[in-house]
Amino acid sequence: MSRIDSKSAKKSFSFCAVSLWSVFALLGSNTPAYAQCSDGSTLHLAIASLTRTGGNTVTYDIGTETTGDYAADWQNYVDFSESAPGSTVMHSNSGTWSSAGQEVYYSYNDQPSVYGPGNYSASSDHEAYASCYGYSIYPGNPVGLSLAVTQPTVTVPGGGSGPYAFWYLGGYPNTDNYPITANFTGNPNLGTCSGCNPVYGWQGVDRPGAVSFSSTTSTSTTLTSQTASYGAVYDVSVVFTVDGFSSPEVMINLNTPVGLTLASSNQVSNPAGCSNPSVYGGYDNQFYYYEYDLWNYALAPLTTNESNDVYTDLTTIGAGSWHYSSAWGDDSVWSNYVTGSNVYPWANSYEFLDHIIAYNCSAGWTPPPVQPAGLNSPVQSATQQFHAADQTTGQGISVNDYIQTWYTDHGTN
Amino acid sequence: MFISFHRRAASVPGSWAGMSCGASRSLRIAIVASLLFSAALSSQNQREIASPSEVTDSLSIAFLHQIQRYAAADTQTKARYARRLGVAESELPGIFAVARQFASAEQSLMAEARAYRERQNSLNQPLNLDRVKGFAASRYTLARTAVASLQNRLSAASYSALQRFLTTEFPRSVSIWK
Repeated sequence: MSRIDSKSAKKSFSFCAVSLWSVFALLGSNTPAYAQCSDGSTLHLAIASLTRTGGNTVTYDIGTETTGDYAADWQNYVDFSESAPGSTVMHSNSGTWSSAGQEVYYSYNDQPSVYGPGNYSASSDHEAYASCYGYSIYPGNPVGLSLAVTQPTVTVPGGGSGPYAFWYLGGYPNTDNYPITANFTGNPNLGTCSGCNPVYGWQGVDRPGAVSFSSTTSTSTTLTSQTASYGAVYDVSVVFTVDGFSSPEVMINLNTPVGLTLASSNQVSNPAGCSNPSVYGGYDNQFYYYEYDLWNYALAPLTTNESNDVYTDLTTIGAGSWHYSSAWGDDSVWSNYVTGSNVYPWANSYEFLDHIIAYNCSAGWTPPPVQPAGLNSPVQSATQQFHAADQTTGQGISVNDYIQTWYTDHGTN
Repeated sequence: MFISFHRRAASVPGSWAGMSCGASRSLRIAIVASLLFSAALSSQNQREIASPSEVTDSLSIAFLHQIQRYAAADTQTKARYARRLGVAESELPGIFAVARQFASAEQSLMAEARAYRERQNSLNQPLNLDRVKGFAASRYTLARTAVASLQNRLSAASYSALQRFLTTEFPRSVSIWK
């Protein structure tokens, strides 16, 4: 390196000059006072600091100074190299000399968001040289510094850094044990930070509008789902930032009820409910349904409602209550958590029960419902829609549409 | 304060084997002896060690140079530096002005000191040690005055914070070769 050559040359000169000066002294000559360049008060300062001065800033200060008596005779020198994690050299200087009596000083600011987290390092050589007798001082050499910069992180509910899943219920609020919100905590991981006044941020990266944030300026925030994921994938991501230095993305799945499937069915003759059903006859077809989510997992009890919108007569209906009969007992809301009129519990941990019932509580229906007998005489059909996450009939997330049909001796869906 | 002091005598640069100006082995031995002897002679008229206040003043000088360096930085860097010092951003111009005034006066002083040496050299005249010490003392006075004048420009809290920086964080980054 040219600088080393230069320094070597000065060292050689220094040796010779000092030696000759010493020989004069040895021979009893008066030491020429004008060749003196230092005394005990002459101080040489090597300044070198590698400091995190912001969430996204690493500051490197380096310099060389001389003070005290004879300071005006000293040239100051520094060479240095600063490296990012992975040994990428960010700044280097092969050597700079100041004029006599002047300091040499450099300062750099770099962003971990550009160079990444990890260990930053710097090394510098400092020298002060007095030309009056060719003598060099090397204050603090070599100066080696390192600084560990940790990336911000996010802690999801229950701990860990994700991935994480919570619910989207079609814009309906938290229902039963299906939260549409999640509290995330950002960890700035600033370590020792000189003068830091970090600005925190939260933002969506993948599908940025899929969640909203209760706060985008504090270390904790509540995410609220605004839409569902496209499937059994973590297709939504968010990050926590500190002065623009971003955490790793937290991958999120916004799960949602997507379907309803018939698990099993059962047929009951002469159902209870009338004063004398065995006289008038009728049936109760029982359908056990389960709902499933984006991951095709059966859902634990979730408030679900049923609506029947369009009724179609499939035969001539005369007297009786076939038409628009709610008395037949279609359960319309299923929930384990809501009580009150028209609310029915789920049949078990994952299924709810729906009925198609027709029974004569009084004579005179045309055609009359009868006990199951293998007949194929349709009377009436209706659309049957199931909506999850809300009690109001017809509202919530649509999970399936059926056509249910009443026959004289049984019901189907 | 975490200032590392180094004794100059322990680290005279260069290695004997690597140097050459045509001296024989015996001459080299003589030179070593002469070095020791001359050091003993010269020490009679020299101060042995900088006083603690001079060390403090030296740090102040380096600190004022650092401030001056940051005066030329961009707005964001300045704001960060203000936070680092613990002062309000609005107080930075005053701090920079003090550093600038110091630098200007210091530059004149050092130029005068150099001119004095050059003049003495050209006349082949010895340096007047009192005068040499005078330059150093004046420089320290300039630094002390500059730091003291910050007290008038800053709020009490800011000045206190700045003093804290100067006496704790800043010295940690400085190695002093004494």
